[in-house]
Amino acid sequence: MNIPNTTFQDLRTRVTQKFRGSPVAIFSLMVIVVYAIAAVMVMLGLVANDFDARVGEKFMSPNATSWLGTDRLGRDILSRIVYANKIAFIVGLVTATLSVLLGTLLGALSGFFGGWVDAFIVWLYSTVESIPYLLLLIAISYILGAGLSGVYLAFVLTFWVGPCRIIRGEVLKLKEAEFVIAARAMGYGPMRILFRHIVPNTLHLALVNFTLIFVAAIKSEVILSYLGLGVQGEPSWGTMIDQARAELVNGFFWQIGGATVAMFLLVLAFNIATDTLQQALDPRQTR
Amino acid sequence: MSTLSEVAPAPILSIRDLSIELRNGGSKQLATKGVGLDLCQGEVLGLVGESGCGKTLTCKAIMGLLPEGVGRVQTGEILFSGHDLTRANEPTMRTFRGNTLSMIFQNPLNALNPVLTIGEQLSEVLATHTTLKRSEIYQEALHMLRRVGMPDAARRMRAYPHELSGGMRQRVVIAMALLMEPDVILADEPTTALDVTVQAQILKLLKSFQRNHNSAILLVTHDFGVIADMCDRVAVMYAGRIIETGTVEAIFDHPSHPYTAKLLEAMPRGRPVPRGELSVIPGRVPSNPDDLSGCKFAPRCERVQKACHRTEPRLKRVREGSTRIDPHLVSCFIAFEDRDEVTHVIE
Amino acid sequence: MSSNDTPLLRVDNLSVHFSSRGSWLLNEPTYTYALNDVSLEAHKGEIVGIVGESGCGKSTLGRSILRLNTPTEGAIQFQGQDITQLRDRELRQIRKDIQIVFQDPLASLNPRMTIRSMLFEAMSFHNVVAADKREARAAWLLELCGLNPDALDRYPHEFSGGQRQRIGIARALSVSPKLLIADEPVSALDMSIQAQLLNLLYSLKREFDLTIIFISHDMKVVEHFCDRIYVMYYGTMVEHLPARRLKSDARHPYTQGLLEAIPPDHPSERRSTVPISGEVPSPHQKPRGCAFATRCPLSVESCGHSTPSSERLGLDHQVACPVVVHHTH
Repeated sequence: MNIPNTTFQDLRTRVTQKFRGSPVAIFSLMVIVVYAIAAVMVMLGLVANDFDARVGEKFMSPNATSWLGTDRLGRDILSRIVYANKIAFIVGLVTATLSVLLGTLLGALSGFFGGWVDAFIVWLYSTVESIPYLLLLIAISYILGAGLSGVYLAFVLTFWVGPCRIIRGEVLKLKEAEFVIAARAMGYGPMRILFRHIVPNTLHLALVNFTLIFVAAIKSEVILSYLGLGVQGEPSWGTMIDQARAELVNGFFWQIGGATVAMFLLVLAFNIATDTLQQALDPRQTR
Repeated sequence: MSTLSEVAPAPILSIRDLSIELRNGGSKQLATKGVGLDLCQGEVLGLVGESGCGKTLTCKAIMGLLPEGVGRVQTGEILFSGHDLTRANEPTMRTFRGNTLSMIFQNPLNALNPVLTIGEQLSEVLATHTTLKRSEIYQEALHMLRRVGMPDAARRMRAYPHELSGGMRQRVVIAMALLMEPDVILADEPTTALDVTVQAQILKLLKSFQRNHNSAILLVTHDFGVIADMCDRVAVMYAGRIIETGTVEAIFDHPSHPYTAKLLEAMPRGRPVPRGELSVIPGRVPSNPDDLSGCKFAPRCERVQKACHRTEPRLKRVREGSTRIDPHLVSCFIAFEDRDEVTHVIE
Repeated sequence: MSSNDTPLLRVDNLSVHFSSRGSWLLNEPTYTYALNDVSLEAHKGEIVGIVGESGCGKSTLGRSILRLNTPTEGAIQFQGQDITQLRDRELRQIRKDIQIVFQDPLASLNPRMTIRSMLFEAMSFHNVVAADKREARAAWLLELCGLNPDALDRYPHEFSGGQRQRIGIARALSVSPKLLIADEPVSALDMSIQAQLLNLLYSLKREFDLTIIFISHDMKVVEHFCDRIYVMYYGTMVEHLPARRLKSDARHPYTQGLLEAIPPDHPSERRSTVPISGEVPSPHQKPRGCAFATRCPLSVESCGHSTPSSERLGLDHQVACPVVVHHTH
């Protein structure tokens, strides 16, 4: 069977090559980096921490002091958008990390041991998957109440399914690989074989899943906030879009426009980067 | 650079000075250099060498199937049916492929489409190159499947590749290659993946077809046993260059290039070799032969002389084994006992 | 040839049948009769060859000896101990004493582990030497196998096929096994590399006093390398005799057919007939009578009904063919 005969070094080379070959991908990467730096700066308190300050009249159009204008309370929209970026990033990171960890663990156990462990986990993810994820998110958030931790829990409980299924499939394949049989022949026990030998060979898939969930989390946060279930107290793109709905009626589009564009750019950049990453990591592309 | 004298029939496929360039990331490399071969109607020419020597690439170059963007013909010509295949466009090549010029690939599992039945794949060849009706196509395909010795052929027409054994799959691949009764068949290691009893059957099948239709076969292999069994003439390849050619008897009885001689030594031939003392060629095939000056085999050669590192030897005629029609050619300074020849070549 | 009375390895009437569950819906399992009533012996210091074509079960046999599957019937004894039904945990010591080298050097090495990790893991798991001595031992093993010790920090795909196979051998030897199963160790390599590896295996055998089970489809290699040869067909042993008498004394029609199917050494030795025609029967059907009967030039009616048992034909020579043994025509 064809196992990607690659190492981390090798993957790194392929990824860099693929990215270098596509100006769009490089640009996307730059966008992501810019956003990330901005998020870090916000976390360090360097910018946008004055998102609540009233800097001017309400509903001002973009001017010298407020580049994107002010909202209904006279707060600087741009500052709020930049601050919301931090929220988005944190939500994305935490959700993606926990989902991938949980999904990988369950998928690995499921694929490797089979039997009732597999039956149970497959049943579990099939059930979770069959519920429209929005309803699931809403239901969980409703139970847990609005707020960031509720958001995390809801997301992780919904998104672990993707990586679980993919890792499970890969582990099923790798179980029969000759180097795994070699490990068995060496006398190694199942846990060691699973986590030391098999799972490291699935990490390239986990990485792709990570970026996909990152994006999904950001988008879902917007939807949750739109429904009033998301982040409270701090501006997030979702709450900004939600609040700005009413303003549109009055012809004021800078808040909703700004937040939407900010989100759109990040999601688009991530999608392009993930596509490129996926192409680079596809074992069939090996020479 | 091998040549046939005027007495011989004109070759049906002629490769002249073929150099294939491979692009590997940023760097370019010559995978073959100056390859010359002549294939005459009705003969089996063996192209023998170890993996990586360029023999498969040569076949792909003939078929115009060098990987896009990775391999291309740098110089040389491939003459077939009044065309230079290196300069022919796709539509022209398509009239040849599967029709008058066909290729049998090494691994039958990879060469067959897993989601199409055998019957569908055979029929496709006929549908592309003929104007026969569907029922006629089916009959022709079935007939050919029987001719290649497929047991229970009618039922197997509806089977998928993964339902067949390796030997059966290879029969299918051969059937597809032979359907249009091509003039030239390129067989790239057709039996390497098969058991020895199946190999015997497949080789017999190829031989009988070749005799009945007077086709020419370019048989690529690393197995000298297969060469001994099947070929009329042989060309030995090393590091992308043809280093020796001649009739099969010439090669077996008077191997003149040290590499050829070493390869043949690996075959026990009756005298048992003590264990642990198998004859070995030290070192490895050079990964960048062009970076090496002089003879590419020199670093591994037991009989190497200083001259070998300086200039690359050219194919020259050796007396033993040469006939009027089929000269025995070797590219090696040491092969020629006549010292005058050696010094002459060096200068 | 044999120094002890008890063979190091003894396989008695081993049968291994695999069942795979059919589709979930229909739930009809398909059986694969990989091995049927197979027996063999290996004495300390011997090189025992198992030769046969694809589907004959030789690889399954190799893996059965390592207990990588569970026998359906029969017994396997190693160093006098019955290991047939032992569980994985109990086999841990066995897994140090019996090691395996695989055919595909690329697939059998974990692509994400360095050579050092592989060797260290094996050595530490089986407590072969003290931790501070492992580096030296790893380097020594690699050198013994013809590799530069700087290979330790590299990954499998950075090596050629022949080199990877040497790494596989080094890994197997790192735990100082007594028995080495070599499953088609040179089949995937070029002929000149094959010669190097075979020479290496032989010198290692002498250095470590190994017993080797050498599995291959290549009759010529087996004849050269082994002391005794077992010939397999379709899950059964059809003949077993010393290697040096292979050409002269082989009697089973399949063995003879195999020998005749080998391509000639010289163009003057071409033969015009095909020794064995037909195909190997499917391993999914329960074997009835002699496995070779359908393709055998000597078969008579009884061949299709009764399974031949292995009978003595001479010193160290057994054949499973009543027609040949009893000259019944």
